[in-house]
Amino acid sequence: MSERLRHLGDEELGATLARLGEDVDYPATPDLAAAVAERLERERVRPLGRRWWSLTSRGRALAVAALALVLVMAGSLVASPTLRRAVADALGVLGIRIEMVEQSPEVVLGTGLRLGQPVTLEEAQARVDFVLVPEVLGEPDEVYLATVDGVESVTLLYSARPGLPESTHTGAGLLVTQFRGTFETDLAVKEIAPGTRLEPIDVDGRPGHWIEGDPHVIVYRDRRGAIREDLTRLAGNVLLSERGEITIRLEGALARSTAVRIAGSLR
Amino acid sequence: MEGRPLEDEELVERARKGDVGAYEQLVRRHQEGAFRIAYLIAGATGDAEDAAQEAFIKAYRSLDGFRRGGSFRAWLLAIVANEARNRVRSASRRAGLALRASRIRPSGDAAPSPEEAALAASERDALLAALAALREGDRIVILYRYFLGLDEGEMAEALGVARGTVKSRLSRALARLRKALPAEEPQEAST
Repeated sequence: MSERLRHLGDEELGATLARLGEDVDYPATPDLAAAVAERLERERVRPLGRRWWSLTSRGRALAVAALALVLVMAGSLVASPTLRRAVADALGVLGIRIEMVEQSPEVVLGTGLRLGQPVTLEEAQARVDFVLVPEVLGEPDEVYLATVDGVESVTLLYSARPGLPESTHTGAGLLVTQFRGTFETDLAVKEIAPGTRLEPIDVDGRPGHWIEGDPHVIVYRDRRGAIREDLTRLAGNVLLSERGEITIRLEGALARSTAVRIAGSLR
Repeated sequence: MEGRPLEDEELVERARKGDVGAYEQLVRRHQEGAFRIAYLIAGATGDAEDAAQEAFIKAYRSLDGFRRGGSFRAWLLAIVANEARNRVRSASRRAGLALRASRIRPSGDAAPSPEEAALAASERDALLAALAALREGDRIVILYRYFLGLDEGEMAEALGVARGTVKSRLSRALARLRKALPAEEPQEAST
């Protein structure tokens, strides 16, 4: 009865707990050693400290300097072992690609800075009904339209300028991408590289996410339930926020407060 | 020196230099503890396995951050606990389900009388329920100490606190555990 337990001193209660611990029927321990060794061999990782993902200065000459993976999955996705396996395999595949990058950049992620079809702002506004422009920055230097998995997206590109440090060798300072679709609100992050962090933050009263650290790929589920992949193109941070049904991504070598301010000024 | 099993510290050194085989040995040595703490926190076998495996990968990548002379086991278990905790949150599952679900084997003494067996079983249920009701911070301290058998030094490392703090944390956790024990039913037959 609990009565007896309640009156036990620390030592006796501890002993009871230890016996309980011994009696727990654990499932058999899986052979993790083989799985771990296999993954490490596949990725041909060397633990060179926190920056091991980074390629050397040669990597910076490419559109995407280094990869870390941040997997963003809705609660329901995490429950699917099949998806988890698929994603784990994708990690391994991407790991191999990192190695190949130094020889043939085109193979990398297939995107480089490919943002879609260059258009004028007016054209973009005519074609899609949701183009928002950050008032504090004014009109973008370049605008791109793309359709990915049937979803139209608009990317505004702002060149590097005071306050918007250059993120890659191409001179781009900030990318503002918008598309119809939202992240599920209950996000979980599976952090792969130690250098990448995701935090939920408030953007103008709406829920958003701040992702800091190495360039990364986000895998997420859109409102239609489809799995999508989203790759960062600049070496910098990402702010994700929402306006109704539109998801907005700000990407650049920005401080968080700057990004929030810019996002807050979207009209 | 053949046949002498290498100390954790030596294996870590080799692994730091990229010797995956050395790391594999480390994993083998610690995988049971890692899996079990993950199971106790995350509840489901699949999640526990994922959490433990991810933790081992992360640990490998962070080996430079492991302080020489420290307890690799403690350092690793903290990483596993973190991974397991993330999975509980992400699956919107309450922590502590693992404890309720675990089957309890009867202790292997000479057969207890039915009354003794019932008493033992109900005490165990009460303890498990109380453990499940604790805050995460209190529960992990108890799991580390009594379910995984970490000593004070290891606990200090796993929790990232000073040794003295471990004692008081444990004491407080036990006090809260007592409080969390289910209240007595009113009409209990006592003999």
